[in-house]
Amino acid sequence: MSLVPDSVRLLTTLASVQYLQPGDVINPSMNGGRKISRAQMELLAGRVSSLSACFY
Amino acid sequence: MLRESSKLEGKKINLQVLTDGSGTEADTEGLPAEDALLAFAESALKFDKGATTIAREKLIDLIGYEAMVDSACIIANFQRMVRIADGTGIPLDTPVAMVTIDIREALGINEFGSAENTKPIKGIKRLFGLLLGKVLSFVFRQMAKRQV
Repeated sequence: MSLVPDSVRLLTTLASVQYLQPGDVINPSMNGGRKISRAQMELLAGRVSSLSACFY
Repeated sequence: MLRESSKLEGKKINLQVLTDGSGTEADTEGLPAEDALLAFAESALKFDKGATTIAREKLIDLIGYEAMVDSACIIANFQRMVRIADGTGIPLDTPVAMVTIDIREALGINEFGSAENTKPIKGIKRLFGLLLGKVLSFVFRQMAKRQV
């Protein structure tokens, strides 16, 4: 995908709005100022990924 | 990250809930609105409009409208990420594959079809990965403590 830089930028921007800024992802205390906690965010993320049979 | 973030919040989560979607309340100190969050995610992924409406209203009652919207954002983000990952067939980065050996085995994630894009971690790399996973868990917690 990095062969299409604009698509990667768009993906990063969208993920920053819907989830977290890239630099905040590895810090488990960060929730991006959302109204749900980071653990609640990860619960949703994990369940959605599992239901979609996502290995990543 | 669920394992690490829930520890930070003082909650004990049965990670099996990610793959079977149940059984948290009986043996763990679950997250606030945990069952409602799971129901919301599951109804959305099943494209079940009726169930989504019920789950959405339940979530609003429990944690509020803004939290429901934030929850919907997370669901949308990870559904998209899965499609991109599967659509491109990318393998899991080797370092990530190494430090997630235990959790992938415990949850049966290696059985997912998209796992075939990633080579299994074996031998000394496997042992190193298991050790590194423990170290990384400690590092995450220290990083979070400094942030707080």
